[in-house]
Amino acid sequence: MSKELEVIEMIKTILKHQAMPEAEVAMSSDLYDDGIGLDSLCVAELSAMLEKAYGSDPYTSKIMPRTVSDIISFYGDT
Amino acid sequence: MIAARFSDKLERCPERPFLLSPNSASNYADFFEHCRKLASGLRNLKGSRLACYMADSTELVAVMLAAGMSGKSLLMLNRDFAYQRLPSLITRYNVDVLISDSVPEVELPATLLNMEALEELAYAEPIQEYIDGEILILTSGTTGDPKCARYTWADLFAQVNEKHAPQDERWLLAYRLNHFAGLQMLVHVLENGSTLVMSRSTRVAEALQTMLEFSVTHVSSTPTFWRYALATLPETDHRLNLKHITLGSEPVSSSLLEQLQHTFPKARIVHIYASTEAGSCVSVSDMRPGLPISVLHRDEGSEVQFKVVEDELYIRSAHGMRGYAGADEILKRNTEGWLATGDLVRVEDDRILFMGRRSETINVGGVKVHPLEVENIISALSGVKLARAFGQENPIVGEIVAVEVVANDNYSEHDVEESIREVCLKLTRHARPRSINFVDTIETNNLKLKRQ
Repeated sequence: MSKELEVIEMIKTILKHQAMPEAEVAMSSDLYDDGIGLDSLCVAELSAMLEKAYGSDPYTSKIMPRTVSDIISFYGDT
Repeated sequence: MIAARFSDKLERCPERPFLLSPNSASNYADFFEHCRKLASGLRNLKGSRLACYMADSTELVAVMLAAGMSGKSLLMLNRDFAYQRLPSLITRYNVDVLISDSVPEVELPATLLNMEALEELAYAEPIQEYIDGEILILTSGTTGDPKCARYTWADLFAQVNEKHAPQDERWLLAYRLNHFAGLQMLVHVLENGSTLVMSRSTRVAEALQTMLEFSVTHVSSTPTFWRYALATLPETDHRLNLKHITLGSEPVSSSLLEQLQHTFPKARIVHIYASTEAGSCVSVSDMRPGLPISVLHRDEGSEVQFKVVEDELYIRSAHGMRGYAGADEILKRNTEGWLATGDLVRVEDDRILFMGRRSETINVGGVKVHPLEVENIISALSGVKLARAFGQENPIVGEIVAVEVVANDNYSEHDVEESIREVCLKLTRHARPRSINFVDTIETNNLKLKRQ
């Protein structure tokens, strides 16, 4: 599975964990209020999942990605 | 105090085994004689404070009881401490003589004595006059540095409910002797004329084997011990004929009480609240977790009183420790003798329920989460052998709830994780675990989940 698909899968899993409605998640989707609707607890979980899967995550590096693409770019750059 | 207890048993049950282990067996009469000889040797030693640095063994029990009869004060050192820690502990607690079953490879600021040397000294006449000594116990230090609680043997015996006749009970020593719960076990057995059964180690599998081998009838141990044990034992036909189970040192959940009752239908099951500082405080036998709220309404003159201040349990005990030993003699008690336990509770209907240690609270985005509430609902799942919840640093909310889980055999981790996620939907959003990791085992400290 590509990293793009893996990250999208993580976000869908987080939404499922929260019993939130399934949402369309695309590379350009806004992660927060104007898009998928991840709140601080969901982002905290996403940060932990990314860290576990890839050994680092943008949030811990004080980078605030807006979209799925931004997350992928973070790993592309490191 | 100790000698009087032995003398009483010599009249009533001299031949009853006092200590049984895979390597030795001693009855009350023989063991008392051995302790009296050792006590005569100890009394002749220079200095007033001894320390022992020995593995759990019949020799260690003999040294403890002999010291208690000789008037010497005895510091119990954890045999797992590295040698390098000994000099500072010896200095801190003014130890004159260290009794050890090994030769620590370090320069010691005290006289070193091994058992052979002590027994040579002990060849004198058995001691005739007894002086009560003190015993010093280091707190378990589940969190933070250990402190040293000072007890008189009289206070320890006063905490035990004496039965009217010697009890033909075989108690497993599940705790280490250098911990307060292990010491309580020894005192309980001697007070009631029962038998103490020592295992080769405190490992659960070994303990279960010892219970079978010596027909143990009574066990006092932690909920963590029993969670491991129940995952190993068949529900029936396990050949253990337990009449009594005491749970202590950690809060107990209703699911564990039910499982134990199912597996040991003939056993009386109680849970106790005790701490190194306050001693044994209350025993609960109604098969419900927590304490009955009635303990908050005890009279001023009661031996142990309870109160709740800002969600924390406070205790005032007539027979608790005398104080801390060493440099940090400052008492945690306030001027009225109340001791802050560090245990957070909530009062719900007729019950005081434990939520965890104050020091273990997880701060998730400013919301306090107690690991115990998370562990309790996860541990109740059939696919879970053991679970530990803790705070994991997180850049967004400060900390998230993380859990480590040991899955039961024959369950897929995927299915167990799904069931954990589902059951945790009952919790507030902040309390739901954001990280679930499966592990082979969870580290324990004196049979309690290790927290830090």
